Amino acid sequence: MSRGGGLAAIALAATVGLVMLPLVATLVLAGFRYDALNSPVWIGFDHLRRLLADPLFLTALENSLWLIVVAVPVRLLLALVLGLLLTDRGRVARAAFVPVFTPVVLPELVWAMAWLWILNPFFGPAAWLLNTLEVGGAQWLLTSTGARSAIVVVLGFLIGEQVLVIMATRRHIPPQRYELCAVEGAGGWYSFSRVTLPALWPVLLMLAARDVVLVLQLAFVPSLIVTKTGPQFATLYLPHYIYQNAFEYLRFGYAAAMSAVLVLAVMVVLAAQFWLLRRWIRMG
Amino acid sequence: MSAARWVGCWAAVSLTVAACGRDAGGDHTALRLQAVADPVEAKAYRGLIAAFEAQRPDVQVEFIPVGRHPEHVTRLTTAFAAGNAPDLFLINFRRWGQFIASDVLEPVGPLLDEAGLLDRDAFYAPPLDGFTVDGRLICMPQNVSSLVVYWNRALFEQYGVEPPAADWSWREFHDAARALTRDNDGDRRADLYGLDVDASIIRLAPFVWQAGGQLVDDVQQPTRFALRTQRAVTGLMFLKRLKNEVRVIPPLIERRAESPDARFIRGGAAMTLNSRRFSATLRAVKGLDWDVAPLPQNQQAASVLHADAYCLGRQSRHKAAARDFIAFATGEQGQALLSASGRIVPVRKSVAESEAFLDPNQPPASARVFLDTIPTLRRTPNIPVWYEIETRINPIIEEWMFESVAQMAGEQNFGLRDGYFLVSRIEAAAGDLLRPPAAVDDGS
Repeated sequence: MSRGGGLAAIALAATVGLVMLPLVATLVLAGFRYDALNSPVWIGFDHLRRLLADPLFLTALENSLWLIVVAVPVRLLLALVLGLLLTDRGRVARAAFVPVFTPVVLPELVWAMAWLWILNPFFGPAAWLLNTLEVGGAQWLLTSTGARSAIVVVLGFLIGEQVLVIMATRRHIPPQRYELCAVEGAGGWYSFSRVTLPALWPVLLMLAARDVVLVLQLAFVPSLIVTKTGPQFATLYLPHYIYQNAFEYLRFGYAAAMSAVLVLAVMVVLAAQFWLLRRWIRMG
Repeated sequence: MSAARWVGCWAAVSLTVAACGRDAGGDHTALRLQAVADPVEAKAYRGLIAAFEAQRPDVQVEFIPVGRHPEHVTRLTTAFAAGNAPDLFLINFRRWGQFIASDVLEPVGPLLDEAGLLDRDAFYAPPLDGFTVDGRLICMPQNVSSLVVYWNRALFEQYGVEPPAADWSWREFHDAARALTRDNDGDRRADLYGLDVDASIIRLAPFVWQAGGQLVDDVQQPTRFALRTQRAVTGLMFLKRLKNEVRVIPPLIERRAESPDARFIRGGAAMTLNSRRFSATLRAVKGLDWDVAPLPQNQQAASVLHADAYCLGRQSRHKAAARDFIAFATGEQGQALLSASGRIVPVRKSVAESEAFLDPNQPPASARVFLDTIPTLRRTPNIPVWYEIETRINPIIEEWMFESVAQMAGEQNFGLRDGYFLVSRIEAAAGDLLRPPAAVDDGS
C-alpha cells in the first residue's frame, strides 16, 4: 500500500471508530433508558415521544435553529469582508490581523469572562454605548432578544479561522484576472462579483457548512457564563441541554435521543444550504 | 496479532487498572474524598484529613476539591460509570437523590451501627432525617445549616435601626429594610439597599412555610406542588412585594451587575439571606461589622435545612477505613476542626454547644442563632429529580421577581394574582417530574 493509501486508511479507520461508531451507538442508546450506573433498559421510541412534550427541549431546539440561521450568515459575511480587506494590504493588514485572530486562540473561559464585563448592564461598555445611542438602553441587554443578540455578537468576534481561510483562498486567485478587469475598465464591484466571489464560492460553502455545527459548539461557554442560558431560557441551546440531561440528571438515553434530533436538524439545515447555494451558482 | 498477544495485552490492561486502585505505599489504605470546596474550605478539609491521618497512620486520604455542585455531580457520575468513583464524597441533600435512585451508595448508618460508632442522640435530628431513606441512614451528615439573615451592624447603627430581635416579624423586617434603603446623593437611585437576596425556591420556601403554606403535598413522596393556596402564595409574594412595592431590593439591572453576596460585602446592602457557608467568606473580609439573625416570622417560625453529608460509594474497596474517617469527621475532634473554619454548623450537639462553634472571639457574635433555628427547620424533598426541578424553576422565579413590569403580562402584576401566575409557571416548568412513585419514569 502506498504512503498516501496508508494515511487514507488511518483517516478512514479514525472516522469510523471515533465518529461513525459513536454516532450509531448514540442512535441505539436513544432507545434505552440508561443512567450510566445501571444496565440500560430498552424502551423503544418513548424518548422521542417524550421530546415532543418537553417544553425545554423545544425551546432549546428553537433557540439553536435561530442561532444557526442568524449567526452563520453574520459570521460568514464578517469573515468575507475582513478576509478581503486584510489581503495584500501590507503592514497595516498584518497588524490588523492580530486582533482579528486573537479571540480564537484565547481560552473560551477567558473570552467569556471578558464579555461578562463588556455586557454588564450596569457598568459595562456595551451598556454605556446603548444608553448613549438611546437604542433601547442597557435594559435591552436583559431582554430575550438582547441576550440572543449578545451571543451572536460574541460569536461574531470568533471568526479568525474563517478570515484566515478566505485570505489564503483570495491570494490564490491569479492576479491576471484582476489586471484584465482593470484593462477593461471594470469597477470594484464587477471584479468582486465576477472574479473574487466565484473563486471563493467553494470555500464559502465549506465554511458555511462547518459553521452550522461550530456555532452551537462556540455558543456553549458564552451561554453558560455570560447569559446563564437566560433570560427565560432564551439562550439555552441544545448542546447545553443535552449535557445537562446526560451528566447532571443522568439521562444518557434521553440525551442520546436529543443528540439524534440535533444531528438530524443540522443535516436538514446543511441540505438546505447546499440546495440554495447550488441553485444560486446555477443561476449564475 | 496472535491470540497470545491479545491475552497479554488484556492482562496488561487489567493489571494496570487493578494497580490504579491499589493502596498507595503498600501498607497504607488509600481513600479518596471528593467535595465542593473553595480555597478556604479546602484548607479546612485538608486540616481535618491531616488530623485523621495522624490518628490513623495506616490510612491516607486524598482530597479532591471541585469548584461547583454541577461539576461535582458530573465528576461523580462519570467516575461511578467508569468504576472509579471516590470512596467518599460530600454532597448536599438537595443533590443526592439521583445517587439514591441509582443504588450506588453503601448505607453508612448500618456500617457505623455495626461498629458501635453511631449514637443518634448525639446528633441533631433534621439532617439525619434528610439523609434517611426507608429507615436507613444512607449518608452521614456533617453539618446542620439553615437560612438566616446576615445584617451589617455598622449600617444599622448609622441609620438608627434597631438590631433584629430573636422573634422579629415580617413587619419589623420590612420596616428595617425600608429604613436602611437610602438614596444618599439624591439621584433617585438607591445607594444602599435594605436587602438583597437570590431569588430561588430554596430562598422562598421558608416564607411559604412561615405563612402557613406548603411547598409540596408530601415531602417524603411528593406528587405535586402544593403552592396553589392563598397562604403559600402570600409567602411567595413577600420578597417580591419588598422588591416591587417597597423597593428595598435592587432592580434586575443592578443585580446582574453585582451578586447579593458581593453587594453585602461591599456595604451596598444592609441585609442578605444566606446559610452558614457565607460566614466563612465574611470572616475573611476585613473591616466589615456583621452578625446573623433568624429569619423573620409570620404565622410561625420556619427556615430551610442546608446540610451536606459523607456518602460512601458501593464500589469502594475500603469501606472500613471510610467508615472510620466518617466517624472521625463527625466526632468531637473532626467537628471541632471544621467548626473553627467557620464553614459548618456542627451536626454533633456537644460540639455545636461548645466554644469550638460559639467562640465569642469569632464572628458571628450571634452564632447561637443557627442552633436556635434548628427546631424550626423544614426540608425540600430528597427525591431523585429535585435537583432538576430546582434547575428548571429557579430561573423562572428569578425572572418573575425581577422582571420589569413592561415585560410581564399586564394585570398579573398586581396582588396575589402575580403569585398564582408564578405558581402556574412553576407547575408548567416542573411538568410531570413530580408524579406518584408507581408511575415514575424519569426518562433516563
